[in-house]
Amino acid sequence: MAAGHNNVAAVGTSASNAKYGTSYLASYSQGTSHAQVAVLKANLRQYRSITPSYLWTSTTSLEGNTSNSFDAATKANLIVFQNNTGLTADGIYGAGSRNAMHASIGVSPKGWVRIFKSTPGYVNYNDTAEGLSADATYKLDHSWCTSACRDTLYSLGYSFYSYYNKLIQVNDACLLDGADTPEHSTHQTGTEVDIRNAGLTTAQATKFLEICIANANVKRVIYYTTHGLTSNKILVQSDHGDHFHVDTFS
Amino acid sequence: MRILKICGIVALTVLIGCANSEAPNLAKPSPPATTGETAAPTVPSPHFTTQLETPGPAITGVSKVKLINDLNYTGKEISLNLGGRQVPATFVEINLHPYGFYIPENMQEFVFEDGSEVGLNRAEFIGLSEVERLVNPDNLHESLRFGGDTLFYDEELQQFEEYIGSSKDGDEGPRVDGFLLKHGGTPDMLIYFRYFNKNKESVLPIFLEVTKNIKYIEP
Repeated sequence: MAAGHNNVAAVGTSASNAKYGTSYLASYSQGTSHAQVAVLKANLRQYRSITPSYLWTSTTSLEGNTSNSFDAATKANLIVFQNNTGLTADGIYGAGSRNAMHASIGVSPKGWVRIFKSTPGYVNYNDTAEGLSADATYKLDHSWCTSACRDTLYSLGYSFYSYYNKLIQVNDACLLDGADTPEHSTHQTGTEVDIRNAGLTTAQATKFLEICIANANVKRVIYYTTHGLTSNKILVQSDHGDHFHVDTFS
Repeated sequence: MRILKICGIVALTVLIGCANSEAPNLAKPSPPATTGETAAPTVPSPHFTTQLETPGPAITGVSKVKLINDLNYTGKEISLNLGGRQVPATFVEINLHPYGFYIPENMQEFVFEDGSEVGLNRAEFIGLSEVERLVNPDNLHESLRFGGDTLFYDEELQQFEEYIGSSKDGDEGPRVDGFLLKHGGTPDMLIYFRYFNKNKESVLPIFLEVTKNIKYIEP
């Protein structure tokens, strides 16, 4: 479970390895030998077993291939996975592929879910190239939360979209099952999510606050201003100038 | 009668041994309620309820001591007793919570947009959280799983009234020790130590001394 990866092949950096006492690599590619490569192969075998066989014609099977060596067959299977999940199919397993693997077959013992990459209500900033780049220090997956929290995000985003035809950008929630994170003091309960305010006008930010206040599952929003709204759900914190921190009840 | 007494003592000793060790049933407690396979979230398992209501030392009959005795912040400068040596300390207020710590030179404050921690580094620190904001406020020990999957009680820490248990990820890896801070009229707080188990000997005494001197700052 170290660093919130559970059953999925882990990636890491010197900073995250120092934090968790692990020795994960930032990426794995053909020629790499590492224990996480064997995990990746198991992940690819599982993914292959739950996807249509026509995707895999002419791709060497990884059945029985359980070594730590990232070989040509691993690369070929990874490329199919990347193609099928909308990633750049470069055959290199890094944070983007890890996120997609989490989304595909990641298991949360607590029953948490991963925030979708995109929906009609929001986009997951963590899964964008910009978001992945912003997470380069630790390369952790902060997209896990409770299912009720994810439903609430969708509801908030969809309401906002209906006013402005604009998708909100969901940023960090929690690591899988609330593993301790070096990037936040809280964000461990599965009910805490940051929403970016980049590109929002004052009117749009105000509307988003109104939508949050009206949502029964929103417990609190931390933001740098109330924008003139009166609600005990808004907690003003000056250091929340670039995002809304949304707490949900469940 | 005497034999019965001896048997009683032997039985009690066995119980004490179980309470202080990493018993298998603690290492693999029932899954949390969020899996949907156990009781409702507000009903902790009897196993943990018993542990929380009568922590180890109460069972053993060994009297507990309070780790935190005086929460009043006066603004005074103090020194900390580390390894028998008095070292100067700097007072640091915690973001978002009305508490502060006196920390020695080798510790620093880590500020996040949603709070702050004080620690030796990013991996070994003291954190604070309102109990009601934990994953499982009704089962504090269970809530410590963010430190690792193995729940246990540390014999050395059971002397403290505030101690609620520990978690760890392997014998050398990260661990978390939890303490419940109750301060009349304010939300109950979890104080937790996060550090590597292999560094316990050097880190724990520092964190205990720092926590002993935690102060409440009137908002």
